[in-house]
Amino acid sequence: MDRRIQNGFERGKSFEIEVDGTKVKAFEGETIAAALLAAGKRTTCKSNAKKEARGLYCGMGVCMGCRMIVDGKPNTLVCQTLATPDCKVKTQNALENWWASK
Amino acid sequence: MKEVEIAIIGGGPGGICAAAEAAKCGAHVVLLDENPGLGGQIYRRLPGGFAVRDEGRLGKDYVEGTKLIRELEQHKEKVEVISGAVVWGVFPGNEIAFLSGDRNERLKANRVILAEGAYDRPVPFPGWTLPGVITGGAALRMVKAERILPGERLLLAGTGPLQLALGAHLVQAGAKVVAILEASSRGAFWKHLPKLLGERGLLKEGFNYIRELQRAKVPVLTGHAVVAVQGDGEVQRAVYARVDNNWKTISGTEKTVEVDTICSGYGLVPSTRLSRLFGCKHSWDRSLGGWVSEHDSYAETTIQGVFTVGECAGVRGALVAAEEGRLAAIRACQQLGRLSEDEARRKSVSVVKRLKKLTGFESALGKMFAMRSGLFAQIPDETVICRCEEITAGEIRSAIAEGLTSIDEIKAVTHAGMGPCQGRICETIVSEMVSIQTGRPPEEVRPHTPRPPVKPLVLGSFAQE
Amino acid sequence: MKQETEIVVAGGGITGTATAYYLAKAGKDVVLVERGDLTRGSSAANAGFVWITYRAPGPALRLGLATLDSYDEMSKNHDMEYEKCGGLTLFETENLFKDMAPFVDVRKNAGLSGLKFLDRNGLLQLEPHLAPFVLGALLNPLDGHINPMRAVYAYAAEARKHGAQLHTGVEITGINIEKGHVKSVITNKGEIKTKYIVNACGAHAPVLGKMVGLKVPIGFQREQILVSEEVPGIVGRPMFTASYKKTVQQGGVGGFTTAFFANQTKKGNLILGGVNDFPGEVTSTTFEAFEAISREAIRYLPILKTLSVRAIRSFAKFYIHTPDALPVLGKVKGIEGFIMASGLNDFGMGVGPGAGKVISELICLGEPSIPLDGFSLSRFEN
Ligand SMILES: Cc1cc2nc3c(=O)[nH]c(=O)nc-3n(C[C@H](O)[C@H](O)[C@H](O)COP(=O)(O)OP(=O)(O)OC[C@H]3O[C@@H](n4cnc5c(N)ncnc54)[C@H](O)[C@@H]3O)c2cc1C
Ligand SMILES: Cc1cc2nc3c(=O)[nH]c(=O)nc-3n(C[C@H](O)[C@H](O)[C@H](O)COP(=O)(O)OP(=O)(O)OC[C@H]3O[C@@H](n4cnc5c(N)ncnc54)[C@H](O)[C@@H]3O)c2cc1C
Ligand code: FES
Repeated sequence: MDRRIQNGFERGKSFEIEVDGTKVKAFEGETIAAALLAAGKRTTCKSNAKKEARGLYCGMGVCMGCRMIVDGKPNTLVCQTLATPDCKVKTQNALENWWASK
Repeated sequence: MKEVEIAIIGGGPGGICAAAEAAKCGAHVVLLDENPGLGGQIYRRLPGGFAVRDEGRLGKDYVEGTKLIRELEQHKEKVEVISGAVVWGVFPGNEIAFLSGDRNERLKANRVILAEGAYDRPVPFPGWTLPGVITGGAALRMVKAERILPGERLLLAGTGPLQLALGAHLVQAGAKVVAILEASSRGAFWKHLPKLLGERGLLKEGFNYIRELQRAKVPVLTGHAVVAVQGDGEVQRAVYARVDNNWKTISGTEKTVEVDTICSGYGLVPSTRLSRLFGCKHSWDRSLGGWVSEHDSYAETTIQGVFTVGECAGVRGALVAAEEGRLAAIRACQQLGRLSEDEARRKSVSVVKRLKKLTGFESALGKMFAMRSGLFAQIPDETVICRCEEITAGEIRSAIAEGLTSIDEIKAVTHAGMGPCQGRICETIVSEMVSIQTGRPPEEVRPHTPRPPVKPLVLGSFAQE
Repeated sequence: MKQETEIVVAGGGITGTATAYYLAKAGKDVVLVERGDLTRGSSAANAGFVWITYRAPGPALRLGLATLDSYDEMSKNHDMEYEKCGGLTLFETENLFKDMAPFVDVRKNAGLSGLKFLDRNGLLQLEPHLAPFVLGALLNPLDGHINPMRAVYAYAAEARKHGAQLHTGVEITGINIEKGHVKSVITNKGEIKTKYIVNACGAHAPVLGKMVGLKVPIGFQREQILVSEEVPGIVGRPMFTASYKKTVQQGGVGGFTTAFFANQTKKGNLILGGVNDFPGEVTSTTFEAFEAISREAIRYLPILKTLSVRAIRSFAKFYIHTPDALPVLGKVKGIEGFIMASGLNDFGMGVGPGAGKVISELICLGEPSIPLDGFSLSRFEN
């Protein structure tokens, strides 16, 4: 199922972003969160203490649930961050994979 | 430091209308909003790269948003809009500090209008932290602005008419909505709904929503709520049940459905971090969403020159936000000498009239869809309440049992509310829990004392010397 | 609330709760009153350094060592996140190694035998993220850190367990003295007859002093701190610079002092400091402090910039400032039963419990195990 709705508008340029090493399609102006949802990816990080999977919750930069490592920056809120061509996105594994990301 | 006559924080209907009105009165205004474009939550624009062919097909909200933004654009020379500006602190002398990208900036304002809006009320149940449980607002944003389906088989759980709008948008776009769970009882919901939609100018829209839902055979189950969500690392199914008048689960009525996404929409909580930082006095009103700043009939708070408009001053919908924004702007302009008292009064007459009509009704509505405590009373001990620090209901309950009853104390001892969301998620839940466990009304549970930064602040945002 | 007791402890910070605990443990009838809740004072808002390096050899250092013992004992039943992980004083100039040598020598002979200079390589082995301009450090393996709020609640819980009554929301508004003896305290919730009152009101100790006609030269020195989000291990132990910076503000008034320090909590939050000044009884945080602390933190720990680490909180409370940076502890002349337990400056977490123990001995036994003469209020008379 294509999760992108088509109705009364046209999307802009499309490009690829890299999510955990895999290419994911995104459109200019979309948030990383939207591109991930469209690709059916829901887990953005493992929580720090209990190491439980977390993902998008509030969708507006309030809950801090959608943390990922984006271009080496951990704790990036993907619901508030626009996708850019070739940006590298990684699932954040609690506090564990911060260094490898540099 | 840059100095302006009026700084407006928040670019939703409240902030946009405040800016437009102030500019009309001749004032110089800066409008700050954290998003890439104006519109706030309800009127959020499509992503920057999208080209709109037919606005009408994007829905009534989109068109209304465009109208307001156009009105503002007519006053370009008076209004500086700074998008992508996250306000993280306010300091004495009305100094407003914000992050613009990775850079720190500051401005000083003679008058400040806060239009921060609101956020979805967090309601915990087992499994609510699983990926796939999102708020109703997040779902609306995805389907209305990003134009993406947040899931394929969805269950909506919560209260209030926004759920119907969301459900309709979802099925229109081809998603399967297995049901909409409305916690309030059948009688109350269907009786008040048409009146409510009518008052919001949404009667036609509302009927369309309902028709859309009927066409797609989406059951609206009143008197029901979600009990738990399950899945191996992500949402796979949900358990729901009938609830009593206090929204407590009636055991034995549980049913399980396979879904990939739950949209939790239990109304909104006013954003009051900035008004609290300013030191404005706040009071509790359940029908307005909880703690809200006290203000006079011109939206001026107990701190002179600081106004709160729209949902941050009480959840009452976008139309109220817009009018309140205008009213605050008129008053601020009068205080700045841009309008005489007479002019100000003349300008505000029609605004006040519209506002009175809207608010009279909205508060009745607020009461009807206000949260009931049953949902909080039944949270199992092992369920996480503070999502940031991962503090469970049990840990919070034992702190309360030890005699800690203020949010600050519970925070100090359990860490609930100490994480990066600065308590936005757990504060309301903890205060409900204190209230339930101690029998005190929520207004007696003292809220947090917020401090800057109200949003995480990149340490590297200050230029090195 | 009881209307009669033997001892009223005023103030629910680390000093007050520890005093109440030791008194109750010794079987005394104790009531602790706190005007706010237990998070109201400085003890709930500090960096959690448990440092004894800077206490002068003699009674002050002994109070520090007694504090460490107290934490060890308390840790058996309470997770206060206490760790004796060592503490570092950072040196940015070669001179500091030389200048600090006599300081270290006297302490080595007074119970801090583990004190040790580290050169840059030695330091980098412990703290690989420090910037190259840090040339070395002084390490005290006995120093460490604690979660200050947990510590306060632990002492409070133990005090209760031993029979003390703790009341929050109770403010002392007056003290009755008869014939030079404490008779009762007046609170917003009524009067309590008592023989002793322990003034552990932190920076507000002068207010209680004034009630009995004493001038207590304790003042409000505001200290501001930033707290980061949880990050992986960046600093291994509390560290503090040996050099500070003074910033004079426009017009030459209201300047502030910046001194870098860093500590990391068990959960991973960095506590970054610090800026202090004397604005009076003000606990707001300032933009200038955000700026100064952030800059210093990045200068010392450049990794914070690389990882784009964010501050999520700031706080400001008071150092319990005295003119000679020594505490004010013990009896006062002319008022029998009025006991001072304040003036813990910026070292309350490193001295408070020890002070509480000694104050309890003073009351119970008449003679404390550590002499308090050097800390008496009367030293300020001239
Ligand atoms: C996620 C979400 C979706 C919603 N969708 C709908 C809908 O589809 N239909 C409907 O009828 N109602 C919707 N609502 C309800 C909606 O909030 C109101 O009807 C309306 O948007 C209120 O307008 P406002 O001007 O008060 O605030 P908002 O529209 O919320 O505007 C506030 C603005 O301030 C910004 N802001 C807040 N804090 C800061 C800060 N510190 N720095 C910078 N900017 C800041 C916010 O990002 C936002 O853009 C939604 C609410 C939420 C939370
Ligand atoms: C930002 C900051 C960082 C610091 N970092 C460190 C550190 O890392 N290590 C360290 O050792 N020290 C540190 N300090 C210093 C340390 O916090 C203090 O020395 C210590 O907390 C003092 O404890 P106290 O119990 O004496 O006072 P407080 O904790 O201030 O307690 C006094 C209590 O008395 C109450 N009170 C006042 N008046 C009345 C009244 N009339 N009736 C009833 N109750 C009353 C107050 O409400 C208060 O709760 C720091 C201080 C600050 C501000
Ligand atoms: S989903 Fe809540 S911050 Fe992004």
